[in-house]
Amino acid sequence: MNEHEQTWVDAARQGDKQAFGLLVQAYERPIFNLTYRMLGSAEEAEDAAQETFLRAYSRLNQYDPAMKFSTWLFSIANHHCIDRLRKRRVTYISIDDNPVLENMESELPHPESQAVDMEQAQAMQGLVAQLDPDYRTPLVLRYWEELSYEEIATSLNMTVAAVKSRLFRARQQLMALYQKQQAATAPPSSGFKQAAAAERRATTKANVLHLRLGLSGL
Amino acid sequence: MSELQIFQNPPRSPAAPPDVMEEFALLMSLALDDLLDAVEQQRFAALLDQYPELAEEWNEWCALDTALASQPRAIPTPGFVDRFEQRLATQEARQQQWVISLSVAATLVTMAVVLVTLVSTGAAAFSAQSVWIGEQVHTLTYTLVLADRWLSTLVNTALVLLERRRRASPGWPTRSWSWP
Repeated sequence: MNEHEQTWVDAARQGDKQAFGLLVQAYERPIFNLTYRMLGSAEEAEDAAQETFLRAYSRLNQYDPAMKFSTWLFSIANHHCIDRLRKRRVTYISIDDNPVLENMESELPHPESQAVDMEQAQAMQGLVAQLDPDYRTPLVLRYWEELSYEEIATSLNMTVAAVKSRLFRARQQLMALYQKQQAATAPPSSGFKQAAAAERRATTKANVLHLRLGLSGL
Repeated sequence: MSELQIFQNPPRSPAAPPDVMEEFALLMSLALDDLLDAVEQQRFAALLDQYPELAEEWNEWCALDTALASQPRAIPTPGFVDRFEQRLATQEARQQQWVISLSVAATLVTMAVVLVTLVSTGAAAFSAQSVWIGEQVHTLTYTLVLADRWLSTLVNTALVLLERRRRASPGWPTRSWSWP
């Protein structure tokens, strides 16, 4: 948590727009990432992220300082995205010509790894976009924001047990989608597939060994 | 069974039943987040021992976990804060306009309601109490006319008396007075 955050929040609650601007600056990336992962379109994600901050600004008097500000923002963003997804009749997500993925690409060091990582990022986003919306948010908060189960539970207003269950279902669904995708595209071309194969070879024994060592230490 | 047969058809471990697969999937999810307690760890290892095919599943989950964890965060295009501030200003201006429009509309509606109420009350009172109002107007008119006549009579009487006194005294002017 930013050490100035509480000061900014207090100032914003007094109507200081500049202070709220600093909060927007601090959280634009995590909120945009969540809306993007939830909605799949850069344009819609931008709109949803902006709307999240507008809602937060108008509801600042409802913010409980006992809660982390980021957690409160994630909660607003999640509700907003779920509302948008419910309003959609057909969920169509294009991962071509995506400015967000281009932004990711521009941050990568080597052209070769850029291409592989770009392909992997597209494949992963394609899989995440197919997940049930209720499973998407816990997954995004866990992997991209690295929140604990307790923090995810607070953000999504649910129990820790429900978070465990949703993350489990999300991973299970994601794996099923991945396997289905692999079955559909016979030649193993994606970076993820190669990474998975390499990972499998390298870690099969290591993981089992790790578990056994963990058990022997009990 | 000969060595050749064993080589050609190696003994296969039994496939994990669906309920075991489901349990193992839950344990894998917890394991990826380092949230297995001692009992769950033992169960996890036991299942791996019992059904070696689950190791493959576990490794696929690990690979998926690694791939997810290595995904970069999506970032908005530059100028997000500026666009937000512009949008906030637009929204506030729109809200202000809305409040003003609403106030004007409310005032106009209130005035119209008051006017309609007054007119309709007057009309209702007039139609319901027309006889009483007619009587009141009649009485008022009668009283006014009566008062006027009484006053003119009084003034004329006073003037006549004054005229008599004037005629009686030789030093008074000759001009006569009358009530219009």
